[in-house]
Amino acid sequence: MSNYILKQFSQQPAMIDISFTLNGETTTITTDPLRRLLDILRDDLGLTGTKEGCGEGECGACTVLLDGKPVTSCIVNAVAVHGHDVTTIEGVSASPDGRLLIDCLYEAEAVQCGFCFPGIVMSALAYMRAGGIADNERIRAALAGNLCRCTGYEFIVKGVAEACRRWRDL
Amino acid sequence: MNTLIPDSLGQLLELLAENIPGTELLAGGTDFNVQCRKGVLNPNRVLCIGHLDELKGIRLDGEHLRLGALTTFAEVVANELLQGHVPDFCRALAHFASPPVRNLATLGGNIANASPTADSVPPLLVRLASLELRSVRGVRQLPLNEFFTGYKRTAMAQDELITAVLLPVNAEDGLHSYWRKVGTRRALTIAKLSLAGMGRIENGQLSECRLAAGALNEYPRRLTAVEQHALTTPLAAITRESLNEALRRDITPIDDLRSDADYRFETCLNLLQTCLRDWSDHA
Ligand SMILES: Cc1cc2nc3c(=O)[nH]c(=O)nc-3n(C[C@H](O)[C@H](O)[C@H](O)COP(=O)(O)OP(=O)(O)OC[C@H]3O[C@@H](n4cnc5c(N)ncnc54)[C@H](O)[C@@H]3O)c2cc1C
Ligand code: FES
Ligand code: FES
Repeated sequence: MSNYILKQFSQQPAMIDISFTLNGETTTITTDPLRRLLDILRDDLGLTGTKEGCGEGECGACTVLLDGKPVTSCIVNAVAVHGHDVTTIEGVSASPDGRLLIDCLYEAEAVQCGFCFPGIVMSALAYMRAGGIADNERIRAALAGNLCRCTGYEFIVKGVAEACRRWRDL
Repeated sequence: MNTLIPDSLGQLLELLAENIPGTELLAGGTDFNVQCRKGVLNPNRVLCIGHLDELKGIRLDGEHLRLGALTTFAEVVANELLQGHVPDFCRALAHFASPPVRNLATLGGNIANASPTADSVPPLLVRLASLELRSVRGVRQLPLNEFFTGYKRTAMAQDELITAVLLPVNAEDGLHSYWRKVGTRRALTIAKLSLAGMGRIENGQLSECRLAAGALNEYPRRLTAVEQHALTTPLAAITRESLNEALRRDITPIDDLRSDADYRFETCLNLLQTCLRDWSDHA
């Protein structure tokens, strides 16, 4: 996105126009270039499916896809999003693999309080889309950035493995 | 606070040349955002660089693999050119943080941040990496082992930035390699200690040996006394005691909340022994 012109700001808050694709739709907002993507999603755009846990990149509750790759949106700034593609949990069920993944996680009873769930889904979806297979070790590695206080991960891994299996058989 | 989004590397260099104190670069933001939130970092001027194409890309450049400063850990792990030439380096960086953080964190940021635990540094040091530093005054190459000068201090001038990391293309050819990071859990672990090594064994003795530790000293660095000892002693004659004696000359341990100096020292000895054992077993 080198289509930016130099912006010289003297007072706070400095605002810039940011355009990006959000769940398939072009979105433009005026914001502080350092504003967290997490706050843009939740507070500015009302997409509250993405959660804030630690706010420091450690727990994965805020995971979204940036150009198809999982990132922790609490440490991504507005400026990094301009010209890019963002998918949040709200955009997942629109895709057949996303729908299948959520169904398999429900069937595996992988959700308790649900706080970690949006982040887990985003990481797992990126894994599936990268050609991920139903291998417990690899699934655990793909989910290594997502903490869950409730489930102990067994059922989550099982659900993701089932989704990988069924997706490949489709 | 001023936030500036330069249009090109040239424009960035001019902004850096204004030498305004309290200027920070924003690359992947994984250190920047956490440190600002904790109040450790209070920049009064932020220069965004994450979008600059001149700082991206991995390519073969003569004798070197050239990794743009914005290369992420995830890109290193997945890059075919690097997997072909330096596969063990790719594997070493796969132990970094977690998948979402690996997609953001850049090599340039990891090195510039100059933390004692910077995980890319020990593997780069033993592969004789150098840095390309640039300013309006020009471009220079600096061996990575001359880059760090103290705790969180570097040889980078105020108007300079890292534009690329240069790895010798044959960095792993015919050599044994080693990388271990000891922490409390597998993902997202800040190293309590890490050890990287590259070595060659001929007739029961090391003919080439480079070792570098993270989290042991005030910045990651080569263990030159241990290297010398290992190069001048037949492998069978290297003992825990002899390594202990050499390692003592290589340290100025940092003490922090995570673990004390004795623990780091003992752990480093353990890793050195496993490293040499691994190499002899596969000689
Ligand atoms: C949850 C989490 C886990 C982590 N785990 C690890 C880990 O396992 N191992 C580890 O080593 N680190 C870890 N880190 C730290 C961090 O991710 C790395 O240090 C990362 O590589 C920094 O790169 P960045 O692009 O995000 O830097 P930024 O945050 O954008 O910048 C960091 C600093 O570097 C400077 N800088 C950036 N680019 C350049 C450049 N090209 N030239 C000169 N200066 C520059 C900036 O001015 C800034 O001061 C972790 C961080 C988080 C949040
Ligand atoms: S809230 Fe972003 S990783 Fe925890
Ligand atoms: S279900 Fe409660 S944190 Fe995972």
